[in-house]
Amino acid sequence: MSKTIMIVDDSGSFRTVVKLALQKAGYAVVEAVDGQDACTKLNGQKLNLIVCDVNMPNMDGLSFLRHLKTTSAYKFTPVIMLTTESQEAKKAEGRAAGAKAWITKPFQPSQLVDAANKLCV
Amino acid sequence: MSISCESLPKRMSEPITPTSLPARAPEPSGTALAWHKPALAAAMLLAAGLAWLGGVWGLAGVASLACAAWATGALTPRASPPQPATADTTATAAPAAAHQTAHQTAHKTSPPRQAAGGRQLAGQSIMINEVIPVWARQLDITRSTSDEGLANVLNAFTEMSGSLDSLMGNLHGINATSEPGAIDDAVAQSNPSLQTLASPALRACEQRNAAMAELNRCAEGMVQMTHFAQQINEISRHTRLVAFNASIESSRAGSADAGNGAVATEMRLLAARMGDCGAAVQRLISEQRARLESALNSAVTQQTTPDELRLEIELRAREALQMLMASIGASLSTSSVVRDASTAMRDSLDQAFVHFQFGDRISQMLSIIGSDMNNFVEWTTHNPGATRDDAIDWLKRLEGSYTMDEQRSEHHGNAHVDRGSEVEFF
Repeated sequence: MSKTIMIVDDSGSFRTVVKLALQKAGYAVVEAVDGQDACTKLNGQKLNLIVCDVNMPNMDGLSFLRHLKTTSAYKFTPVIMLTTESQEAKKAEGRAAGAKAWITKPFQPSQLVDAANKLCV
Repeated sequence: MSISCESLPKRMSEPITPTSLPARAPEPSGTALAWHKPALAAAMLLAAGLAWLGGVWGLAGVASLACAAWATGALTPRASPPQPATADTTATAAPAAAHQTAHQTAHKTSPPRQAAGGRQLAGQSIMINEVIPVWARQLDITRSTSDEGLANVLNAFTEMSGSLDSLMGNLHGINATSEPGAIDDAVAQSNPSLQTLASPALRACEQRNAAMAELNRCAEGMVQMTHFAQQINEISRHTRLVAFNASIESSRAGSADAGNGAVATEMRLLAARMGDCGAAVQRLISEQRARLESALNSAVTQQTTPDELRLEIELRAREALQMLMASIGASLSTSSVVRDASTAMRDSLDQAFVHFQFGDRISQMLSIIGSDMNNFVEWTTHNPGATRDDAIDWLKRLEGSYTMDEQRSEHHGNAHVDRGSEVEFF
């Protein structure tokens, strides 16, 4: 049974790129358009990894990450932040919130797959 | 990708109230604002044009220019002394500073001109409130349309990529069959088929063995018949001897026993015929037996066991497969070209997926600009008399709202150095 990764990004085109890269690597993918949508779609399902953007409407990535860490079911689920943000201050926020990795866009699919292989639980 | 207030509390999406801004100089005179209205309008029109023709950078650059013009000269009271240019504002403030110097002498404050300035300020406010929101909506629809279009194109590319992967998989499968050991694998995999192929021959082999068993039983019968023929010959010889003795006894008895003499003669004749017949039978049996033994010897010599037959069938199948593989190999020389082309195309597609991420960046930039435009309108509505400090504050807030290095570089008019993607594990 393949491992499942949730992609949280408000850009449909970007979700498509990420989904393609992960599906080609053998992962099943669940999509969410922002943090709020992701919270709704968590729904107790088994997730091995979450790939999340930072800047999104309704609920941004860091808020979603902080919320995730308060839940018993997902507090140990690794999260990769995939964002255009490259400022050290933002990275520090992500690290403090519990992110496991920070990838700056635009990314090479192989980089994301390597990180997913490394972090997937 | 838009920016949420939650994630960026200092972004321009926050309504800016007069209390949130630094202390402001007195309201500008009407004449002091006379020149900047056309400049601002021209800058905005140019920004719109570049946005449609040249993309987001044109808009960002000219929007910065407009802000700078507004900030450094247009809305600053002409009576106030020129502010020293900071590193942040040098690039964008220079044109406006030139305008400011040129207009300083012309804009001497006078009551009639203050009234005219008030009307101009109201006109400017109307223009800003009416025009910029339209641009903001246009930016938003451009962003959403661009993202939707990119998603559709990407889906098409995804399907193409899937087809290529499938093709590559098939080509790899064909190629594998021509590799060393592939024939052994093929023979092993096709063993059930080979068994089916061999079954008629195996049945024929069994039938032949049954026939040979029958022939062997015939040969044993021949041996018995030969024995019986020998017994006939023995009886004939014995009968002839009896007939001979009878004829002697008849001769000794003379003519009185002529009848016995005739019987003895007939017995001798009968014995002779019986002997001829037995000899003929024995000769025929010998001939048939010789033929049968020859046939049996030949059959035994040429006999193939079922195991040998299976091996032979496998050997023939292997030869057939080798011929087939040779034929496929010839085709593969063409297929390898297709495979190489497919690999190159797949690599290109992978790179295309990377480059398509520009859509997300453009979407984010447009979202930020649109949001900032709306906030600019709101702010200017509440703050008709802005100062240079306000402009500097605005520029700092703009810079703080950026998410990408290239935005920050462009903000200062510097060339952006692309550092590529980075992965950092925590």
